Amino acid sequence: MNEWRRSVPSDAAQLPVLTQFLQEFWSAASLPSAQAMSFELALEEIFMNVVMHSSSVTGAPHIEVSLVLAGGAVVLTIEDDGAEFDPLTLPQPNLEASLGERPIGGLGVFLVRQLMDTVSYQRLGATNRLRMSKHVERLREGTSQGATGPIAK
Amino acid sequence: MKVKFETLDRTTLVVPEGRLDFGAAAEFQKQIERAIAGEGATPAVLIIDCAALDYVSSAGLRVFLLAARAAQRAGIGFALCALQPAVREIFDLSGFSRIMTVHPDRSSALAHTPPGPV
Amino acid sequence: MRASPAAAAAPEVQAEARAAAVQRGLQVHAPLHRASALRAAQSLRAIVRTQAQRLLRPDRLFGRAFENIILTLIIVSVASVILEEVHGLPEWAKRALHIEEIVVVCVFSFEYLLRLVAAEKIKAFVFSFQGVVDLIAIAPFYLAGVDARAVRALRLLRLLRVLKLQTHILENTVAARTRELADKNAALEQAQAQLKAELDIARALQIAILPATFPVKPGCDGAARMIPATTMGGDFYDFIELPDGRIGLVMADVSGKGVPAAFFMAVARTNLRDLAPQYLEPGACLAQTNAMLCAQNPMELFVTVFYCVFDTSTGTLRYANGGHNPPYVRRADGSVEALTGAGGLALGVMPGVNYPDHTVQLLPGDRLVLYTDGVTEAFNSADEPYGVERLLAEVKAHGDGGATALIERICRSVTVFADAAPQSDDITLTVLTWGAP
Repeated sequence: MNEWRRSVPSDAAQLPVLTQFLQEFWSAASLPSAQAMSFELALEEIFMNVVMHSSSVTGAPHIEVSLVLAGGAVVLTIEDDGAEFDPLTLPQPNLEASLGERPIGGLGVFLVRQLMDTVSYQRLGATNRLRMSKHVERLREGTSQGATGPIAK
Repeated sequence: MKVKFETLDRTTLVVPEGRLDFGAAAEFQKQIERAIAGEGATPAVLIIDCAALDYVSSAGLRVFLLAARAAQRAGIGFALCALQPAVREIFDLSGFSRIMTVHPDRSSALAHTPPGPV
Repeated sequence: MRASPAAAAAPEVQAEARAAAVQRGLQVHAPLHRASALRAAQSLRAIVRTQAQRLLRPDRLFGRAFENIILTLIIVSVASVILEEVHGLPEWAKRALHIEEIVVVCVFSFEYLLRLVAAEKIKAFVFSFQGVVDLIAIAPFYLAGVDARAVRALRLLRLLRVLKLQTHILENTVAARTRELADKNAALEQAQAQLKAELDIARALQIAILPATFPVKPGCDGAARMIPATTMGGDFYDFIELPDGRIGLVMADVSGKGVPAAFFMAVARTNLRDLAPQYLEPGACLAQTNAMLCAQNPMELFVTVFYCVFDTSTGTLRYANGGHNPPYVRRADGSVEALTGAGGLALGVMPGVNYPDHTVQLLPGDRLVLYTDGVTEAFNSADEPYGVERLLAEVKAHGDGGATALIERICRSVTVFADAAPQSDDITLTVLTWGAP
């Protein structure tokens, strides 16, 4: 399957567009829908972070999302042409704090790190790139479901 | 996201249906605030039944956190119930399971949530 | 020729004798060989026809000049028809128009006769559109003597000479376009042939860099094969000699097709090969290779890699997986197990990926089978994939046979299964049997 790309203006109202894009990719790749949520969440958290923190000298920045299957993993890439900003440097939340003490924000990037296998940030020229991946179990045709014996999958 | 309300004696049940993402969070927060304020009399217990909640992001978690605090301030019993497995995982990862009460289903939530602060 | 007394006679006598002989010959031959005379007449006609065709050819100087003259005269004669209707025309003008009419008709008649003679089939020409138009263009003149009113009517027919103009222009345009197209097609075919030749060389080079034979190690019977797909792909295998009797085995699959994939394959293979002696833990080797590939990956390709280091003296196999299909081990007792365990992301996607190491112990008689998804995802015309079960069935059925023979067996099985469906992906296999008795 080839790489899929979608570009949107940096605007919170675009989130449903990107969510639908992800869902279309997911079914086109015949992936189990139960595994999509980690990616939907990662997409939302990073996208909203970029929307809220990115700024651009030359008008509203654009955000490009791409999805591709690489070996047994799905790779999600979010790029924006705003000022240099690494969401991974945002402060970690305090998970031990009590109800009254818990700060409101900071959970987004933390959740992404927990749910994804690998996350990396790169500044490429005038672009911020956040790339993450997670291994997924593909629905394969022609393979026996419920194989017995030592043949593990 | 659709939100239904049910009242049982002095317990208000909030039943969100669908996805609680950034777009739905603001409205959901307003509705919870209205439920806490009550129509006439404030409820003694507020339970959020998440059986039909398919998805929650950090924006949604924020609403739950604010709701729990508001209930505490208002002296209302507060609990969640029937979290779907994927949503439960998010709650656990973010440590929310420790700071608010989560019941497996509605009946146990109704039975075990006393009125008053948690 | 021996000079005879008769031949020594005077030249005039000789000539006379020759002429008489020719005449005699004709007289003798005509009644007896009417067929050959007919043939002679036909070949004479053919010669004349060829000459006429040559005159009319537009790519020759005479043909082009003649054509231009015709075109000019057509325009002139149409203009004259209009001019003739002007009242109060001076006498000299009327006479000039009359002379012009005669000249035009002569030239057109000559052209008509020339075309008549040049035609392959006379009847076809006479009744063709061009033939009819050309005849109508000159007919009014020859029929002028019949009736005054008819003449005037027929004169207007000269306007039909405009049609003549059209057929000329049409002919020229069609001929020019056809020539253009033929030239363009020839250029395209040549470019395509050259491209194909270069791609064939590239593919041959790509295959040539794969090791041909398994390193000779005690107790090891190893073999590998790569069958390239129709379009250049990026599968590769490798055997890397490492210190202390160890061998590194690589099985890899580059994303995409064509020249970029082939290029990336060469880079990935070289990087891994260079790093292997330095990073003897397979996971570390993959991590370093990944870092190198990510540092320079303009085409944003990636490669799935299974890399293992096999100790040929102890049978210990250490392995790490970068997104590749897990290989299988067939134990001596016939059971088959997959080399699973947590792996890392395919190489080239992002830096900093961790590749956990795993260990498995091979016992004498065990067999390792590495492959790419070109085997399991080979489709037949019914769109069914070959699948893992068929692969394992072949492995099990082969029993204790040799490694090369197993590879041949699997390749044959895949080819037979795929049947008429084209091979869309490289088929790559490595088999290693250890401690064969």
